[in-house]
Amino acid sequence: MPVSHDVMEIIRVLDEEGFGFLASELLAEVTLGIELDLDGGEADLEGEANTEAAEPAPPPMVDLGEDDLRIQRYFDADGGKGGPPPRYEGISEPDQLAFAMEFLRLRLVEPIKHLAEAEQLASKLVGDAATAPAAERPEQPEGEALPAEKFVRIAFTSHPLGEPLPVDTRVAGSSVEAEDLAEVLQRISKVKA
Amino acid sequence: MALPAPLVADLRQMLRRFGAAHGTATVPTAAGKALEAWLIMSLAHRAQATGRWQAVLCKGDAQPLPPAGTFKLPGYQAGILPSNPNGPGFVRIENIADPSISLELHGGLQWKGRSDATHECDVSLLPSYIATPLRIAGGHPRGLPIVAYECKDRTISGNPDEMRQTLARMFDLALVTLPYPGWACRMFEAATHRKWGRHLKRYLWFFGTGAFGIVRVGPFSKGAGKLGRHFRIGLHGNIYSDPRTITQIERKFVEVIDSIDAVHGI
Repeated sequence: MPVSHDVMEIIRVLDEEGFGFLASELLAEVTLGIELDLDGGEADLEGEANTEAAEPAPPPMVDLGEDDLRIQRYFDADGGKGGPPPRYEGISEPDQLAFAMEFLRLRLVEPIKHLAEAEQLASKLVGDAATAPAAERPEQPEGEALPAEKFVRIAFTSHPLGEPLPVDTRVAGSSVEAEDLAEVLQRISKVKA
Repeated sequence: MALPAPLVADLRQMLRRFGAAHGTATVPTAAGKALEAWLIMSLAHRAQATGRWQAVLCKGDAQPLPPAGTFKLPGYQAGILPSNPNGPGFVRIENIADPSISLELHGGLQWKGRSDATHECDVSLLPSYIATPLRIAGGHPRGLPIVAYECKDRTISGNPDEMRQTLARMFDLALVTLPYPGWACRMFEAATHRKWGRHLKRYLWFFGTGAFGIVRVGPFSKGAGKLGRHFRIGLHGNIYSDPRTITQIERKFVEVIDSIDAVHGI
């Protein structure tokens, strides 16, 4: 399915604004389409509603012992030789823009929102809250915001011999820029082709 | 039909503002690191919430992080680095009833396998008994972690090759064959010869004790599921979209750490 003019414009904007790696991923995923044969993962294996679709019981354990050649046969048995290749369905041009916006939400907005949440969780694990015995630990009522001065910031170290990572100027525990970006993505997703 | 120009202008402005505030988001590996950080803090918080464990953020010198400090995670693969207050930290998780059961939750930690190859585990758990001596001069823990998760920030579905990669890593790490005569253990540290945990003769038994999995933003292909389930590697897809995913990971994590005993480990 050819990539729509709208999505190509989004890809160009991403590339020009310093997100070239996302531009190429988005182009690849829109071109590839949506995979049809997905596994529900662990979440889908729980619950009565999924009983009929549950995976069959695993085969009896085989003693793989110390023979690495037998391990290799387990790799070979599953694939690349057996089973059909994955099937994909093209994304229609009217749906491509919404697909692109969801892609950007998952790749840009959600990571930052979850990093902010990680900082909020981290902030509850320091100072008095961390070192006091459980019975004496000060209670932080659910839903009550920590004072801003107590927020822990999470940062990533650069390799001493490599390029230093770009500096973050964000406020620890905050994801306001991500939320503002999400609002723009939402508006774009509603544009009719 | 072209997108309205004002909307494109808004998108440009927001991307610039976003990139300025979150410089690391412009680096390809950034989203994976954010997922790693969130997973580590979620697990630590969940352990503490049980009332049986105390989770403490530690700096690179193993001292508690002060309030409003900066908790550093490695942005690159490395073993445990020599003690350094400015180096990457970890989360210490200690059993309240028996503080001798002390664990460390690390991000981006490299482990060394039987082949001598190093393997990065995005999130891994090991006992302080093994980690502490490594912090003297630096080094790699050897053997199979108690818990290990791979974090994949890609939205495209995880294919069987991704699962095979994880499995190959675990095969190299699992000490089914003894590293040295008489060294029957789950993991060890080479400098001081400390050994920890039970030795198991079968890979599936090793993989079944502990928690291992791939955590993905996107879903999994069917082929990946078949391989992962047989070898006890959890498939945790749609981590941001499906709240059940993180709940399951947290529940399994607590189940595993609760099963550790002071004498035999796990």
